[in-house]
Amino acid sequence: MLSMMDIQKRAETGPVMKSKEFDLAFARKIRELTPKFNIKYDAEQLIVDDATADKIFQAGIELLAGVGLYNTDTQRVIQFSIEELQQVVEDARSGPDMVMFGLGKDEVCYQHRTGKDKRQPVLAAGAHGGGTVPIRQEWFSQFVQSYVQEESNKALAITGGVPSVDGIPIKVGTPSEVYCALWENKAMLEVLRRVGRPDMHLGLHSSVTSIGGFLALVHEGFRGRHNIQLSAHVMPELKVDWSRLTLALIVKEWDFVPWVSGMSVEGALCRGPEETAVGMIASMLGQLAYSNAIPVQIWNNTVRGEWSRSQTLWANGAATRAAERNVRLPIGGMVTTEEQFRGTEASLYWEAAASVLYTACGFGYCWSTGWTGLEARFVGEILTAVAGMDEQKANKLAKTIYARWVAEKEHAPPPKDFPELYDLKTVQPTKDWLKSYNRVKDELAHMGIPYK
Amino acid sequence: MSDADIFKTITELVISLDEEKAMAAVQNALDEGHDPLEILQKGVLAGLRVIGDKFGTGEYFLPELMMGADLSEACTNKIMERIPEQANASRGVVLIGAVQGDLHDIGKSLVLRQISLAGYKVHDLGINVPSMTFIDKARELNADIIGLSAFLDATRPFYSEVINYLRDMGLRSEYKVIIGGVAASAELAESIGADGWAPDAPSAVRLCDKLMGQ
Repeated sequence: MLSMMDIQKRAETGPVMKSKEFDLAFARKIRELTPKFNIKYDAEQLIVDDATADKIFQAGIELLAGVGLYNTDTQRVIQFSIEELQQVVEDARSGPDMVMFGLGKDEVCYQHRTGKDKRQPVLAAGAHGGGTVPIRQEWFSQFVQSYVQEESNKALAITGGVPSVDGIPIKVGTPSEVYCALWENKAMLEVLRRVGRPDMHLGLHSSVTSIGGFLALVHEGFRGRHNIQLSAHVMPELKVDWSRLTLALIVKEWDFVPWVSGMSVEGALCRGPEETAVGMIASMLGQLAYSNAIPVQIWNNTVRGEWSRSQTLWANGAATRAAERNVRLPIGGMVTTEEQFRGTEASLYWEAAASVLYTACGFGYCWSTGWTGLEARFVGEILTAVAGMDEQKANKLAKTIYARWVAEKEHAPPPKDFPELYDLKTVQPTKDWLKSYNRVKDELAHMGIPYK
Repeated sequence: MSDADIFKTITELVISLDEEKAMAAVQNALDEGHDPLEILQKGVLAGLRVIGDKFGTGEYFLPELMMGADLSEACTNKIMERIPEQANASRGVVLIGAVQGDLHDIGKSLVLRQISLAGYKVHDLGINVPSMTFIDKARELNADIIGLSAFLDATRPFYSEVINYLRDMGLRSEYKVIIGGVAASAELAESIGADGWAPDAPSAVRLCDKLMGQ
């Protein structure tokens, strides 16, 4: 990891270029690299082998060394040499391979994990938020409780997500951002106390993005080192700004845990899953270069906002394996489907396919950021069942479930929101939602998930 | 060569994104006295439409849209030198930016390239754009449409901030305002008084066409 003052100097003296020029340089470079390393998507083999994973990782190093990170504020490129990036990788490999969240009986360890490991990925489930899921203030507490009360769930993944409080919209960089975020956090902490898990990790807070917003959350008895991750991540593709870099320095100096997102978008600058996987690795390495970074999140979607596709499975799985093998940090990501399938049986098939595949690729933790706590239970049971499964068996099983998802989503019913899926008084799933869960689970057992 | 052959050659060179050869072909066509407007419409713009279609089918990607937009601008500038001023008009002027606090760039870039390819004069204001900057730039550049992009719940309120400024400054009727990005929806557009919403880049082009009466 380089010092932040070194990064700042590079951001103030590196080559000047417009964002468009940087984007084109990125596209040209990544188009060179996938043929050079002979990286090819294979819909039949969704779990890549070690050699392919290592090639993707090496291509990610060369991509970042070739184009650098773009600072959108200075419109300059932060450049790195191959040797510097190799040192970044070595620093990550030789450093801690785990990080603790929560306190006391609510403590949880996110640890590096390989796909062969019989230890299951840590389940972190919780409100999605961030503008992609309709969450309402009126049932926010019950929604959070539905996750917190699931025993297999060890932490919340991403929290917040209420678009307005008392009719006041959350607005970044203004007092209402703080007002709404404080309300959300008070509500969440109250839920934790009520359920008896007061010191559980609350994950990435999605409603605040400004530095001021984060600072408002961090004080004694509220959010601290043990229960928050702050997003100081690289934006797709390979872009940062002063606010992200400043936050990264604060996080490091406070010994907090940043949210690292190796994130890339398929269909824009990256053409297919091969380039997207390389882009994710470069993004992750970019943040490792300027930030302390355990754990690491791997994520991609298409430019049309889709991610429940076999190409996504392949790319996420490949990047997970590439990262797991080479930086040996806890790698994780999300298994939930798109918003339009929320609260449907169809979504459960995707979550199952993704859970099987990513566990076999080396997820150390798994975000179930769905629509209700019942899905956390559903995903947790699969993680437990398939951890350590033979790689080819997992590949075949994931493909079988994926095919079922493809068939099911074509005639999925309209989405349902939390109040249609849970009784808001008892905070228990409705009979229909529970019936769906049991029915799909039975079918998955017949397909080959060895439930314990 | 017939007119049709010449236009077809230009179209194919535009589609293949060969700027040097496309520019040379345009220059030859102009030098041979072909109608500049026809060179533009049947040659260059026909090629740009195909580039847009290829993006829609997944054959082309954002870099191709960027290169296509640059190539078309260079060709168009050359052709415009030969077109009388009254005919020398774009389909409209569009400003696009990600609202204040929003750093998401890719969706916005796609939309602005597609709109540019459709023949509009497009100005990219970038990301994290203060609300008043949209208005200052719209006045400075005599814009027809202001496009606002937002990705997050926490940045969505800046859609209405821009619209409210326009209203309170007595400028609302002078500009069409469209919204896009993950945080946008048809319902939201209606509730905040925007002129329209587009879920993706091709829809944004259709929306601009509709608002411009084309």
